[in-house]
Order: sequence, then structure tokens, then C-alpha cells
Amino acid sequence: MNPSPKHSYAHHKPHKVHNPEIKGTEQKKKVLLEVKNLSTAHKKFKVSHISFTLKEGDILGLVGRSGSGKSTVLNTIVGLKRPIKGSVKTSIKGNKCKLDEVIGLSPQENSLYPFLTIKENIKIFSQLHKIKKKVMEKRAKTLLARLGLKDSGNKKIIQLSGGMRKRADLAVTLIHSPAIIILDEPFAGLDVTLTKFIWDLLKELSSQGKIIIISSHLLGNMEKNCNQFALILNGRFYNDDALRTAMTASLTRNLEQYLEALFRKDMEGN
Amino acid sequence: MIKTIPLVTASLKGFMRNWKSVTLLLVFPLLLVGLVFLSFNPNGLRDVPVGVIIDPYGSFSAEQIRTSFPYLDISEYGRIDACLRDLKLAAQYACIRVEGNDPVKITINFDDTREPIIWEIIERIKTTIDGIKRKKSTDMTDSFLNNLVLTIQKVEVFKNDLSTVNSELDGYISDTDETIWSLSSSRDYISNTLDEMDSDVDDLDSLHSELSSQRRSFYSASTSYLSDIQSYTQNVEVSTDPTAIYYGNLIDSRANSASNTIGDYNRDAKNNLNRMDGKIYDYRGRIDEGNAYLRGIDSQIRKLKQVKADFYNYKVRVMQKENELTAIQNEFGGLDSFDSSNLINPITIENLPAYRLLAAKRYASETNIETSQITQEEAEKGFSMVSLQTLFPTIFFVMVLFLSILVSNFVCLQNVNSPAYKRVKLVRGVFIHDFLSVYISSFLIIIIPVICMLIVGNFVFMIPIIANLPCIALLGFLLISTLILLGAGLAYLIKKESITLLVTTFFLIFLLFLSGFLYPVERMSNFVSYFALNLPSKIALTAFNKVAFYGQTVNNISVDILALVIWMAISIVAVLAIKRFRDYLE
Repeated sequence: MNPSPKHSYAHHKPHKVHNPEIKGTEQKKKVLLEVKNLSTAHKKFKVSHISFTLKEGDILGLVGRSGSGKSTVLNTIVGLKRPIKGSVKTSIKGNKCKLDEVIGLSPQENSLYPFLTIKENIKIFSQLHKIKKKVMEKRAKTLLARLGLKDSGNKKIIQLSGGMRKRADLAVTLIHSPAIIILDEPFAGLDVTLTKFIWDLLKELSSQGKIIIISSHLLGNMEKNCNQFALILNGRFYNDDALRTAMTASLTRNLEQYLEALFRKDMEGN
Repeated sequence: MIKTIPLVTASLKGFMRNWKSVTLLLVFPLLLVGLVFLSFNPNGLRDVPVGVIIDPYGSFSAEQIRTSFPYLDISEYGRIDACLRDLKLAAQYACIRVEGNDPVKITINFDDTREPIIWEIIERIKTTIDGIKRKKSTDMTDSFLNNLVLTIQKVEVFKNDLSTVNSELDGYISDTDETIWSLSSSRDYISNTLDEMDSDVDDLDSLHSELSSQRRSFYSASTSYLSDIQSYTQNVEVSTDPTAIYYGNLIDSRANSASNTIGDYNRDAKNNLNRMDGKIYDYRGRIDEGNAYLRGIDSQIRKLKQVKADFYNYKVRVMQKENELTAIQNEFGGLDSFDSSNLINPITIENLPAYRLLAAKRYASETNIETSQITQEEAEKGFSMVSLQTLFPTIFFVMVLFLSILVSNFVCLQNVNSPAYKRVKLVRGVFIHDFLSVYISSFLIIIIPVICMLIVGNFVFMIPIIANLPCIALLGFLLISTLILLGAGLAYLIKKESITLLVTTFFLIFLLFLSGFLYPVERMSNFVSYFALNLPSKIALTAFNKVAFYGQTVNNISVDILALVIWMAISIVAVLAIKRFRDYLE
């Protein structure tokens, strides 16, 4: 991939707040996420040159082939995985803060207690994040309603369908109102309606000034909803600038086509 | 704790709502505990089948054997081969052959593939036979002692007889002394008399000699003078003077008469002197005879003295015998007060099981009866109960060991492999809370069966657990905590469920072995036994026994508690280090 600076794809602007309940729970903050020269590895592969900066309202779409290391990169950014080198810095209103204070992760696999109900999961993670009971109850009510889980709150996770689990997971991820939300394949196994439903929610959160990093294979939706992109290819991380340059150079019309061509080429090369 | 509580809640709810975990780690252990405790027979060893081969001419009948061994289900066999055949078919545990009659020989063939129960049976048979042996020996000793006492009484009679003999000997000696004295006196008198006689005879003899000499001188002189006279007369006769002649003749006649008379006198004197000489000779003969008598008396006196000496010797021997009899009396005199059981058991070994005595006293005080009034049946039941009581801690600690390590393993694995773990790890400062949640959750799960076991121990096995609850609770807490930490440490270290459970199984066997539950620590080599004695489960077991059985206080088990605290502290540090290391690796 040869980066070229003269290409642009559908640019996302921070959305306006659609849901007054969510809006009411959080005030817009000046959040900054700065990842510098990060390198990480998992088993046989290594991903390097991970550098990007996100500010409030940014939605970064992380793309790459299956097994390229997207989850590894996300886990490294949130601190679940120790990086080989590099740094991840966050600040709110110019004040440096610990990543784990502001981050919300929804991993690829469901990450809830399977034998507990949605409400119990929400309650437990609220308590872990030291959220007051009243606030938690209010947020839970809003989130469950917003995610269409109002009537499933007392169901155990193991009793839920894949889509419901994903939404329940999202509810728990958002319960402490993280400034930076990282979603690893949030749409896997979801139908179109649910995908749209979640995108709408994410755009709302983005409009509140939250930084969202999302990895997905659904390039069309990504292109439509993300304002920044990053690509992992052959162990290298390409940030938004590099990707734009490359797209420009390749004269591709949109990101989806560019990546499809790129992945096909990569697959044929392998 | 604000972060620990939700994690504990999640862990406990997750555990309790997972029927597999509840079944595996709560229901099964409780069922197992129940089964183990139900399997204990408070009446002790149940009747075991044993064959008996009785010698028809022996001292024991089958009925006597049955009575002597009430805990055996006895079948009678005619031949040992038949019994051994059944033994090999597992129909009999042992074959007891009773033969002979004083001495009785008992041969026991036993099935040594049925260890260890066969040793208990053999031990009980041995104890019973020892009892029979003791009774028989006591009877024989009693009989012997009675005979001995009678003999000692006879000795007293002999001694009295000897005393009489001694007195009689004294009399004989005295009589002999008297006789000797009397004989000696008589002898002296006779000797003096003989000496006097001898002197008189000598005087007579000299007088006889003198008389004989005088006779001869007188006769010679007389005859000479008469011859002279006659010669003178002859001269006269020659004269003419008739007167002269007459007178001469007269003188001559008278001289002849005188000469004749002198001759007669001389003869008579000679005869008398000869008679005198004969008498002297006789006297001398008598004196000689007297001397011979004296020598005979001397000989008799010597003999009497010898007899006296013999009497003395006899007396000395009698006195010796008397003394010997006295010594025998002294030696065996106390035998009538002897206890035959002391004689057959000069060295008595009395095994006093400290706890059993204590338990008997406690039972007596609880039932308001004297210890000595406890019946044989009650005592046997008590012994069985005490055996079970002493067995309880081992089983309890084995269960605690299994439960603590397996539950903590399970809880920890469930935690680290939970889908939510990733999310939990993202929470700031959750490291220690996560660790605490595993520990507390495990503890809360384990404590349920542990409490059940302790209740069973207190109310079914009558071990004073509740009475010593603070100490036992402290020991339980420390041990369970340490074991939970070890189990969690393994889970944190390995993380993969299948491998962890495999390793845990080996770890459990390792701990079981070294805690002395399978093999006595006392039989291990020095190094291993030192290590084993300092393992937490062994320390806790020893301390539990001290507290539950002997009512020791915290002060008396402070060293054990300190050791467990050290174990717990080391375990905490180790588990945290492992957890941190694993987190670092990720």
C-alpha cells in the first residue's frame, strides 16, 4: 500500500444528540486519546506503528482481515495486553487521566457473567465503577430501554439470544458512561435492524463527545458512520492519514472498494 | 471492599446458579461426607465369618469358642482343608484350629489379602485368646499358690518338729554330758582307787619281800642258832653229867622241837608269804583289769564325747535346716497375699488411652453415673464411638483438603475464564479485589459443607466441637484459607481448566500423602516427615485433636496457629505473585 494524500471518503461529523435521556446523563467533555508508536504482539504475529490521535466525538473504524490483530490492538490500547513499546495517553479537558478511568470495552466475545441477569451484570459493574445506586438505576433503565432490553432485564445472559447478549454487553459497557468506548466486532451475528440500532446509539454517544473505536467487517456501515479509519495489514497499523493517502493513490471510489481490492490482493499474495 | 462485594456476589451467584458446580462441589461432597459418616458402625466391627476346627478331645468346645468370640460369626468345620477352601473362596476371613489339652494350641490361618481389616480381626482374636490364656494361667497360678501355701504351712510343721528335735538333742547332749561327767568321775575315782591299790600292793609287795627276807633271815638265824644249840647239846651229851645230859637232851629235844616248829613256822610263813604273793599277784591282776576297765571307760567317755559332738553337729544341722525353713517361710511366706495375676504378669503393661479415659469420664458425668459403673456393653459402644471420634478429624481434614482446593480451583478458574473477566480487569484497582473475591467466594462455598461436617462431628460423633468453637473455628479458618490460596494459586498459574484439574489431582494426592492421611508421617524418612509434619493440614489436624479431644486452649496451640498463619501469609504472597506474573505475561 502506497499512501497518497489526495483522497477523501465520506467524512463523519459528530452527530447531534437524539436521545434526551442519554444526553442528560453526560456533559460533553474535551477528551483526547493519543496513541503513539505502539507495538503489540500476540502469539505469532506482531502489529507495529500504531499511532493515532482521537478527540471527542471521533469514531475510529478499525479494519483488517480476520486474524490480522484488530482485537489484539484494541486490547493493547485498553491495557488488557502489555504493549511491546509505545504509549497510550488520555486526557479530559487537558488533564491527563488513567485510561482505565475513562474507558469502556465491549470485547468481541460476550463479556458478562453468564449465570447472572442483565440487571445483575449492570449492577455489579456499576458497583465496580463506584456508580451511585440511584444513578446506576436511572442509567440502567435508560440503557435497557434504549437497547430494547427493557423486558429482558431479569433474564440470565445464558438465556439470551446472540443479539440480546450483544446489546446487554453494550449496556454494561456504557453503564459507567465511559469517555472512550471501544467496541470489538459489535455487529457480529446481528441482523441489519440491530446493526442500525446500535449505530444510531453510537452516533448519539459520539455526539455527546465520546471517543469511539470500533472494529468491524461491515465496511459499508463503517464508512458511513466513522470519521476516522485505521487499517491493520500484514502486521502494520495504518492510521487515518495513511489510509486516506493510500486510497487517493489507488483512485478507488470508496473505502469499501479499496479495502476489498486490498484484501483480495493480500489473499492472493498469500 | 466496595469492589470486592460485587465480585463475590457475582462469583457466588454464578456458582449457585450453575447446577453442575453446585452438584459437583456442594451436593456430591455433602453426599460423600454423609456416606462416609453413615458407613461408620458405632457398634464397631460387624460379625465376620470365621471357621473353627475343634479337636474333639481338646479342652474347648465349639460352644465355648462361640461364647469367647462373640464378635465372630463362627462356622464349625471338621477339617482344616474344608475351612481353607472356603477361605480361598472369600467365605471365611480366618480358620481357627484349636488342638490339644494342656497346652492348648491355637492355629489361625487368615486371609491376608483382606488387609487391613484382617489385622483388626486377628488383633481381636489375639486379645480374646490372651484373655483366655490369662484366665487359665491365673487359675493355674491360683491352684499353684494354694498348694504352695499348704506346703509353706507344712514347712511350719516341719520347723516345729525340727525345733522339738533340737530341744530333744539339747536334752540328749545334756544327758550325755551328765553321763560323761559321771563316767569321768567314776573313772577318776576308780583310777585313784587303783592307784591307791597299786601303791598298797607295792607296799604289800615290799612288805612281802621284807617279810620273806626276815623269814629267811629268821629261819636261817634260828636254824643256825638251833644247830648251834644242838651242837652244844651234843657236847653236853658227851659229858657225863646227867643233868647236863638230861638238859642237854632236853635242850636238844627242845631245840629239835623249836627247829621243827621254826621249820613249820618257816613253811607256814613261806606258804603265807607265797599266798600273800599270790594275793599281790591277784591284786596286780585286778589292778590291771581295773586299768583295762579305766581304758574302757575312757574309750566310752570318748565315744560319749563323740556322740555329744555328733549331737552338736546334728543340732547345728537341725538349726541350719530350721533356718533354711525359716528362709523358705520368709521367702514364700507372703505368697498367700500374692495376686495370681501379678505372678503371671510380673511386668504389667497398662495402656491408658488418654482420650478414651477422658471420654469415659465425660460420659459418666453427662449420664450422672460413676465411671466404674459403666457397663461392658456401654464401654464397648463407647470404645467404638471413641474410635470413630478419633477417626473423624482425619476424614474431616481430608474432606476439607479436597473441598478447599477443588472449590477454590473451580471458583478461581470460573473467575479467570469467565467472559466477564476481561471486563473486570479493566476496572481500576481491581487486582486485589479480584483476588479477594476468589478467596471469599471459595471460603463461603466451602464453609457450608464444613459446618455440616462439624455439626455431624458435634452431635453424631459427640466430639466437643461447639464447646471449643473459637479455637476450632480459628484453625478451620486458617487451614481453609491456606488451602484455598493454594488451590487458587494453582488455578491462577495454570489457568487452563483441564490441565489445572489434572495438576490439582496430583497436588491433592501429594498433600494427602504428606499430611499422613494415607501413610503415617512417623514412618516417613526424616527429611520427608519433617516436611510433612509442617504441612498446614497436618498442623491443623494435630491442633484440632488437641483442642477437640483434650480441650486445649488457644495458648496451648499458639505455635500451631502461628505456623498456620505463616503458611497463610506465604500462600497469600505466593498467590498474589502468581496472579501478578500471569497478568504481566498477558
